[in-house]
Amino acid sequence: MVGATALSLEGLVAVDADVVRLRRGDLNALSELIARYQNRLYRYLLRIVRQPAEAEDLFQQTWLRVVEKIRSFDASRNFDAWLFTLARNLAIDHLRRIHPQSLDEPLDEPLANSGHSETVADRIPSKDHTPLDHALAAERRTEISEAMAGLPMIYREVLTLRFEDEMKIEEIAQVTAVPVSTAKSRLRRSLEQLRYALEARYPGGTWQWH
Amino acid sequence: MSRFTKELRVIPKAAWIVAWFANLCFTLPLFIFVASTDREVSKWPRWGQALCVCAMFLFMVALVALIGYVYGDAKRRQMRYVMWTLLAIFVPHGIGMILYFILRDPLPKPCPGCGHVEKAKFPFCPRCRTLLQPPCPKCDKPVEPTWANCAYCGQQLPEPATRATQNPSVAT
Amino acid sequence: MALAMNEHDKIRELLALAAAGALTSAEEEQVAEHVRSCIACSNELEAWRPIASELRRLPTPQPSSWLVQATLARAEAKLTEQAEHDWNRRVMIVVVAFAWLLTIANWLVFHFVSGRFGSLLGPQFSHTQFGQTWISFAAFTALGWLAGGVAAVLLAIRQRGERRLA
Repeated sequence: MVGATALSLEGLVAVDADVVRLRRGDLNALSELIARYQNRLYRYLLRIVRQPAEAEDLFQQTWLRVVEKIRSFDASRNFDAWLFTLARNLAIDHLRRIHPQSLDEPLDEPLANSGHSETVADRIPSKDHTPLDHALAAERRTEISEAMAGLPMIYREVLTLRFEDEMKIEEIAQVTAVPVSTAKSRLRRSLEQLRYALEARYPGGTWQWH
Repeated sequence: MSRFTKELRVIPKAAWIVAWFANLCFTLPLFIFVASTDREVSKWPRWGQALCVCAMFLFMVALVALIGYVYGDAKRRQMRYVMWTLLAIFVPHGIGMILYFILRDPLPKPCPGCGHVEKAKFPFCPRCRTLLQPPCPKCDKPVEPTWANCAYCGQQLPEPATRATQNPSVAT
Repeated sequence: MALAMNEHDKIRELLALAAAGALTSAEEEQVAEHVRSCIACSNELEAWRPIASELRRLPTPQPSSWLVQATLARAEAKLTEQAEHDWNRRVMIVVVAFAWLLTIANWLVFHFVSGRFGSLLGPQFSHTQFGQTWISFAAFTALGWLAGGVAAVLLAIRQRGERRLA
């Protein structure tokens, strides 16, 4: 799937070339950049704000911001981290204005749209082969994404950056603007809270063994 | 082709001819009569005088070229180009030129349906009724393509027509 | 005994991160070594693995098909807007600098012509003194700006009148 995980080395080199072209005003460079990051960026924003309509709006705003600030972007820096930082700042400002309480506290009940689609589940490489396994796997994913949607925003964020975007801890620390040790402890606490939520909601023991 | 050379082509060819002519009329006589007769200036070294003449020559060319640019640019932006050219020439200290660059209209795009060029702000083409830039669906005011919501009435705006996929829709 | 308990607790804290693949190689070695001997921690680690693997395999939510198109259109508009803005700013700087040059050139010509003209009328009118030159230059510039200001105001009135009709 294009752009579902972190970019390969050749992908990164292409991004740098696109950034240089974009600074000179090349429109095609912009469309290539958007195409490269569209899935990851949308997913990240969706995990933070949890509403697809708001995530789409923020997606557009992020790219407008990129165009505005590309001149002052130091080309030697990591474009990935910069893009996600921009998106993060916009998302947090948005949350502060519209849903101020959703930033810190976990929700008691899951939201109506957790933002996942079942059609994509088939394309993910899976060790399960039987239809039953597929169904079980799909169910587990639903449970996990619902549990994740109930976590506080900073925990959702670090989980998605680590597992879905496969960012290294140092990059996560850069995007979330915290020291590496804080990022590590956030990741640990988010996993612990996630597991606690799963064991509390689905006490049947699904999560005790694979 | 850089932006600069592209803009240079806006200057009408006639302006360059006028520039040469103006140099003949002003710079050359100034040099001939002043340099030879004025006491102070003739004390200057030869290269100083030559430099001065070159500077005056270039200055005159730049002046006429700039006025020519105002003429050509105002014409392509569907502005009153005669008025603006006169302002650029006669308002002293180049303030006329400064005013022009501050107050000039944006560049109009040709209509994708019939190629007619009209002023930039109009949403419809006056010849073929093509919808050039859809106005706000609620309050009908012209909106910028970067806006997500109308700045006048707050209505959420649909996506702007992209360049590649622009389908001229005939308005009823 | 106390030492072993501390180490055990420390490793337990690292287990979740180990399943996430977020440990340094030194820390990973520590965990691997401890897990070989400690069954409790080994089970804990295995308990974390399904969570980590499912998190990695979460389906990627798809944005609407029009989202990328709409974003591209808006971003492109912004890009051209910015390019225009930058270009206009550069042009303004050049024009203002040139306007100053023009002022000085006008002044020189005026000074020269009036000097010559004055000397025709009488010797007392030719080349004025240094101190007065700056004042007359300032006056000359100010008069020009006044004329420019009048033109600007007239233009603004005209433009506002036009906009009210539109």
